[in-house]
Amino acid sequence: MLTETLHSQLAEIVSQEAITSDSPTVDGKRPALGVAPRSVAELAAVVAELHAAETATIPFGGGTMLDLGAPPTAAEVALGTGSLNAISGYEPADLIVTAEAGVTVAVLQATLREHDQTLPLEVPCPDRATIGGAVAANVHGPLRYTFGTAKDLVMGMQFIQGDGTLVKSGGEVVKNVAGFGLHKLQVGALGTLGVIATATFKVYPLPRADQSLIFAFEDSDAAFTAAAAVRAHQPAAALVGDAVAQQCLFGAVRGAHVLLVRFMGAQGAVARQVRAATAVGTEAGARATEVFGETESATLWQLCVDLGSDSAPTNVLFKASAVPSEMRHVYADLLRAAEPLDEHAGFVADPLNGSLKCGIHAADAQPQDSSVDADTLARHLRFLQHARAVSQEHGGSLVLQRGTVALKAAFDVWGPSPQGLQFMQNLKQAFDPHRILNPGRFVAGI
Amino acid sequence: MDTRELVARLQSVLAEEHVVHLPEDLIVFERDASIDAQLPAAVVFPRTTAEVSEVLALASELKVPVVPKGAGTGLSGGAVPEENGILLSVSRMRDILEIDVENRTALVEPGVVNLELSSEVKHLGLYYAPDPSSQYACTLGGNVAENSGGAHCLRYGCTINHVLGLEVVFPGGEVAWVGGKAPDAPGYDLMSAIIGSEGTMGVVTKILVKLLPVPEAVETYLAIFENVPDACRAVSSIIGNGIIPAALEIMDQVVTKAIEEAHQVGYPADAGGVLIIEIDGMQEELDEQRDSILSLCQEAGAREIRVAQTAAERETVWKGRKGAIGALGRLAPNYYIQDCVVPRTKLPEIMGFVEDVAARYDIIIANVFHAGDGNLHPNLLFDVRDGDQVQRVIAAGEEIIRACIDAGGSLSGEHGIGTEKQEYMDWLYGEEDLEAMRKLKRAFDPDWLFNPSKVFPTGEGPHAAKIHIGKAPVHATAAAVWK
Repeated sequence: MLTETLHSQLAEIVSQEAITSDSPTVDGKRPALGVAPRSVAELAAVVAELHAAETATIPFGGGTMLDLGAPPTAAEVALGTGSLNAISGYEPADLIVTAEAGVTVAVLQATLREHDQTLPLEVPCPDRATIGGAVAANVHGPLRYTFGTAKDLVMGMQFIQGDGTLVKSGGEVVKNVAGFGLHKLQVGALGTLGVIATATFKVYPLPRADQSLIFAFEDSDAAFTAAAAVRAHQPAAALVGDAVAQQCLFGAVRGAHVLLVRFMGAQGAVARQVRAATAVGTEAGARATEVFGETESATLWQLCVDLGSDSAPTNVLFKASAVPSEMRHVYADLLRAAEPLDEHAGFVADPLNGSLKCGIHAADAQPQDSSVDADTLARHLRFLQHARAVSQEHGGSLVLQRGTVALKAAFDVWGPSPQGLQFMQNLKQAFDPHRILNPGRFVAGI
Repeated sequence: MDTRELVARLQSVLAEEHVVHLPEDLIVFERDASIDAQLPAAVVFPRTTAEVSEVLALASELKVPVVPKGAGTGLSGGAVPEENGILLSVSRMRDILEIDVENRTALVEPGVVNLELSSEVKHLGLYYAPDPSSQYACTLGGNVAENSGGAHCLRYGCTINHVLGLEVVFPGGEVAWVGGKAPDAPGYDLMSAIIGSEGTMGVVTKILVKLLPVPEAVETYLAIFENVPDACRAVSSIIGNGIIPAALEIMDQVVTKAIEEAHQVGYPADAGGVLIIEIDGMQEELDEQRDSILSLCQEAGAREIRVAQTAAERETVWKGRKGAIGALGRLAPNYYIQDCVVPRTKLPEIMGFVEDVAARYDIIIANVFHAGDGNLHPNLLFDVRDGDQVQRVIAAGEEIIRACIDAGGSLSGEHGIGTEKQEYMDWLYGEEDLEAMRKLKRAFDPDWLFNPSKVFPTGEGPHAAKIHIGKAPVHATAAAVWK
């Protein structure tokens, strides 16, 4: 009944074709209605309507990050931004681009590439992932060491508050301190403080050279020691990966651990950096060294970023962090702790930024399964609890990015309440007073 | 709130000598480097986070406004006290608490001076990148409040890109860490909301910043043009060609002449526009960029390009640039420095417009700016005793602001809004946008006690109108804060 009334009210705002009953499932909950506004004005009007009707709303872009977050307390409408797909402003010489939220990362990058430019934000599944979703989920990869994360790249934004009000923050210039950073606050808020309508990014010239190296090590400590030494030669990014991760990435295992290092910049500089890094790797005991040039390098890193992002629902994916210099301990500890799991657990760690991604493939589960048996669940839970404790011991935190509903019920996706929680709750109350946006999916039940 | 009672309560949490309240003592705290001035009820000098917390708890209890202050070098009035309020100075909180070489971070107190940090870590081959022109005096706490920039923002970004974590005492006295050495703490990014909030959301008591390795090579050029728009065209084409130098700074002839008179750094006297280009990084990178940059400058009409041959020569070039605003004091008793930003491709057009405005209003406008970022600093020179001139300066300034906003730009690139630009905020933002910003502030400061009279328009009309007679012009020029 509610659905019918809402359907007819939404039909007054958007065309019939923009309303569907086909919406994505979030942690087992499937919204009865899907709506895909075709303009920013329509998006605002739809949110205002959902606010008035106090309807639990799941905003989504390409739907590639819907596993992130605690299970929503309710999910009545899926609000898709996919039809907001215009690149609304791009002046290459200004190194600034503005796009609607539903523009996919791949489309944006292709447009930028025509002018030898790039948005240095690494996003899994770029063909489907949208820029709005990438910003809301604060997606990033190892290149953040050089270019930062979305908060460093987003210069302005238009977003819709929970009550349907369209708000502008920041601007379309590369340097701006006029007004407060509401657009920075939307980064990583998972759409719980507003629905991103457009975003303006600072972009960069494509590097003249882009090369990567792979070193194979038998000992993880040697890989991290090499990473620390390579840092003196100013890599753009680095990753350490275990055998399972290598299998996923290359279909082959080069050694117990590999260190991947990326250099970007001027031709001559990159050539020298590659030579210097090779010497460093050899010094640290690397068994083999391979160099990947240009397109191969970019492909290699996209594979790393995609790792674990698009797998079966029974799999577990988490991201942990630590003080960068201590990541080696977290990595080594978790690899040891994963041994009794009896499943494929793969690890990649970012030694420069201090983050780690782990995917666990539930060996017995079938692709169509949405749950695992009690023993498997208990093993996963124990491992996650241990992993979180280890991350915290080294100054970091752990966020469960994918898990079954049962696992999410047993293990707090976000972990203990952060400092300043009261202010976060105040912000939620201020920007989404009816709590319609992704209710319950964010930190501490926000 | 009775001042005597307030002082007594403050002295119950801080030592007597750390609560300044006698009118004759307060007078030196009435202003920052902007035009406004206001006497507070008291100035407090806490030493620790716990003391800050106690002061803020007291302020909330008594509903007394609080304004935090660093070195007072800010140009927009962010640290001007509140009437009957507490001015909280962080000048006693000036320890560098930790240098972590392995993670390339520094943990500092808010009163540490920007340049002191770089000097302190120089022997490690590291430095702190954001470099406001006032860096020899301004504090890192103030930099966080204003999200300060500087000449090298172009390549390295502003304060927000270099802060990893903050210890903040929020209104009411609650202490929390936002961000930290490990990335990706779950929750909203409160840290990014607080950086650049101009002291309206709390007091920062510890700052964790990134340190960068000192580049292995640096080259500095002085490209000399007939006029500023030509220099702007060179900037656009350098960036349009995929080169992002460390700095691209333009000065017009009014500025270079004033600098020459003050500092004798060797800028040409007869050039309409001078462009400082600095490239840094790996030697091969510089080798790749040098020729392109030089030929792009020539194409844009550079009549001469000088190369700083030694580190000393490079320093001389920068000494002139960073001393520019101070040197303007020689030309007129007062100046009104603006801080608009425009898309870089609009620079030639907007600088032509600024020239036209100067002619139409018959005032001198001196330009020295971060051209690479599109961040203008027109300095409108005047004598505050000349009422007609003051009115012309106000009108001219407003035309420039309007033109920059119409060009798709912003009101402020790095100086902040404070009191100076608050009445123009509704030129840039709609009421809904401003209300959303107020909501953000209230989430931290429900009683609206922190720097309560800043940033938002009061509806009293353009602030520049406040540049009126009787506002102690001597201070206005002596406060040589250089951006």
